[in-house]
Amino acid sequence: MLALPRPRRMSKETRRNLVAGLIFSSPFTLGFLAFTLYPMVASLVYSFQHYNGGGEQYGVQWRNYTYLFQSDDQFHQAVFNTLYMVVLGVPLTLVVGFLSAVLLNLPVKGQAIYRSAFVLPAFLPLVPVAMLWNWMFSAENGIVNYVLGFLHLPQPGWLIDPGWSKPSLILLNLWTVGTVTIIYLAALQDVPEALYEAAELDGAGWWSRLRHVTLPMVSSASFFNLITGVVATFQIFATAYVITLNTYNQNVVGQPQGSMMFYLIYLWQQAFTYARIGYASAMAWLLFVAIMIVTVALFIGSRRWVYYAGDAR
Amino acid sequence: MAVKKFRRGLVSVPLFITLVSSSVIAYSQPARSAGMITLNIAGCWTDSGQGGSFQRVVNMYNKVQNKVHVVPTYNNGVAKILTQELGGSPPDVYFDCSTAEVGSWAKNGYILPLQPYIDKSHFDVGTITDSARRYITYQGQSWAMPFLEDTFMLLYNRTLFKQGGLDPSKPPATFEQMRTYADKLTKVDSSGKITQLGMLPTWAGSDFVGTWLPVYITAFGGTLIDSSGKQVTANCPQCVQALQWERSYYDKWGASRIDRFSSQFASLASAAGNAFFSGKTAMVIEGEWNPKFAAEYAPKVDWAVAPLPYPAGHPELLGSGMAGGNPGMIMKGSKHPDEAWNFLRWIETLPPTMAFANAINNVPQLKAALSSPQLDSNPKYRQFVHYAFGPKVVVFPVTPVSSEFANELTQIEDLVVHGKMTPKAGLDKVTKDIQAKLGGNSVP
Repeated sequence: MLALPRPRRMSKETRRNLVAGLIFSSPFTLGFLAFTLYPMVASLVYSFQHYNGGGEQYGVQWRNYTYLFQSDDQFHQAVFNTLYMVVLGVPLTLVVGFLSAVLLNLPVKGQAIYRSAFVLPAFLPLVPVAMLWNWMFSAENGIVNYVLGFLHLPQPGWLIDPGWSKPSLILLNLWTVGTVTIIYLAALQDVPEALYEAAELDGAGWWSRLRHVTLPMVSSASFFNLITGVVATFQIFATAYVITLNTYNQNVVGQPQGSMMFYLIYLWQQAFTYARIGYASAMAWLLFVAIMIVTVALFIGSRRWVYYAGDAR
Repeated sequence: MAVKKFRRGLVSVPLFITLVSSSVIAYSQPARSAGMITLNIAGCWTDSGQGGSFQRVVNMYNKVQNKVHVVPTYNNGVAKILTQELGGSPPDVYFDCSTAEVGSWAKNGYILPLQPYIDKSHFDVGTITDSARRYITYQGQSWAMPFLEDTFMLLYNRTLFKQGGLDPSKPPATFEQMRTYADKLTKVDSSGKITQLGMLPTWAGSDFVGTWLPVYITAFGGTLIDSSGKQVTANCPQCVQALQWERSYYDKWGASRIDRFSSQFASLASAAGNAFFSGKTAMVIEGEWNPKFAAEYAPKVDWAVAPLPYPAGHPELLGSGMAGGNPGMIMKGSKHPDEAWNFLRWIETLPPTMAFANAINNVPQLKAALSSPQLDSNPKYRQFVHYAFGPKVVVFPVTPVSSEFANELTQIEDLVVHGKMTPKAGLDKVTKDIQAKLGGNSVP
């Protein structure tokens, strides 16, 4: 018998597989390191520095953060505007998304057409949608105010009125509620018919069935929509930016009267027009932490109201 | 089968796009010989008319020398160029449409100081107009070469003047007169809706320094910063007067009614339906590009140009004004700064300057242009050119925070005319904020 060489820790094949595996996963790994991890670490460092991408660069400890909280009115306004959208816009999106899904779930003729019509706007690119709405919401000759005038209803200034600009944006978001609707629609179809039958036998009316059967059974969909909605709304940018750009001078973002100055718009302005990289990094990290806290809180709170089918509870 | 076909189709679509676009790109590039240095020249102009003219003028350079090949692009914004500079691959030269970036880009080291090049090549900056030289100078040094300049005057609609019982050959001389005329020329229908505006003082028609508040302040005899460039004076008595003057029109006719009426106009200066070209606004403050634009977008509007008004009792302020322009800056990340400088020197000669000035009707930045037989003979355009060459035309202060200064002025102007703040309180806030940012390192 020949004495075989003592095997190394890995067989040749395992090693080859490992190398192949690493090579095949390297696009992601390298991409992650270069385009996600490195920028994140760098921006964390910048957030504690005075840094403009050139010129002087030095540590300022927590000053970027304290300045944001203590002295920056526009930042406060941006936080308020963004929270407004989160607190009012997201629940509305859920309600409208759910109700539209309930309607689209009804077995009527032409169901597919209604479903397409509802869901289609969600797949249109945001920029043209924003421009379209800009035009429809025009205070003086927009179609929305034309219809309102025809019905002898008040015609708000919509996008040029600081009191109406954010509600206008919420309306626009409701128009693109289709993705939420789809998820609810899928969830609705998963609700076992037997539960409804049982409830009906117990004498439950439509409201009780909705309240005690449907809502709990789609609560996981609600939760998903809530989380994604909150995260997306914290980062609202494109529609608001395009609308202001179209209505006002291109240099001044957030008009009318600062009512559309959202968190990311302000961050964008600080970073890419004023080149305050350090300051904008601090803002980005605050947003990251804020979204994380809210998400964790929602997850913890969800234990009280989210029901997963098959849960042993 | 169908799926396979579909997939093959999917693959071929991007392939097709790539092929077509690369051939289009290859086709659109002028010929160049091997071994030449490529200079990327980026322009800010957004529309194809002005941007296209810019490309044609820059391409003229390819014919007059044989060492470099210039590749001009347009529709480049500040954010894009800044990102490219920070990413290490900026164009060699960037022509901004605003003068607000020169100071901050110089301070932050995104652009190269031009003084060493000027000294080395014995370039005489005295050939450039005083106002254009002001907007390229930061802390006593030149940081850019100007390519044309802008100035602003009073534009008024002669037809509306006649209809309102005013003499169309007598534009308002003072701001007080302009306000009175504006009231006379404002029309309201039976339901209380405005159907014609006497003036639109906050119209955001320009991208150079926010709206026109800095121009009004200058015309009222105020200054935004003291002569040392260190003390912000945006709350000067004349500054407050200027903003109060704007606000008085809004107070009289109702800010939301004016907003509503003016929202139907196109917000761009280069559009047929803008406030003035629509023929529904009697007076605006606007720039020298309008003769060209009007010929294209509003050939039927009968309008005229007048000097900016002055406050009553101060005729010595007649001829005051503000100039903006297009500073051409060599980006720090440029691979060929020497060649870029040679290019900038070339634009400070008459042929490219006159070609571009006449193409887009901006004010030429060279003193010699005034007597050049090539200067466009359009009388309205020439009024602007003469105005810009006047001794009382200043520029928006060149500081490291000019962009924010202009933006905050616009924001405050918006709040003040809508009655959310008094002019004094608003301008006090601007002064305090900008002073803090200008003052040093205590602010991010």
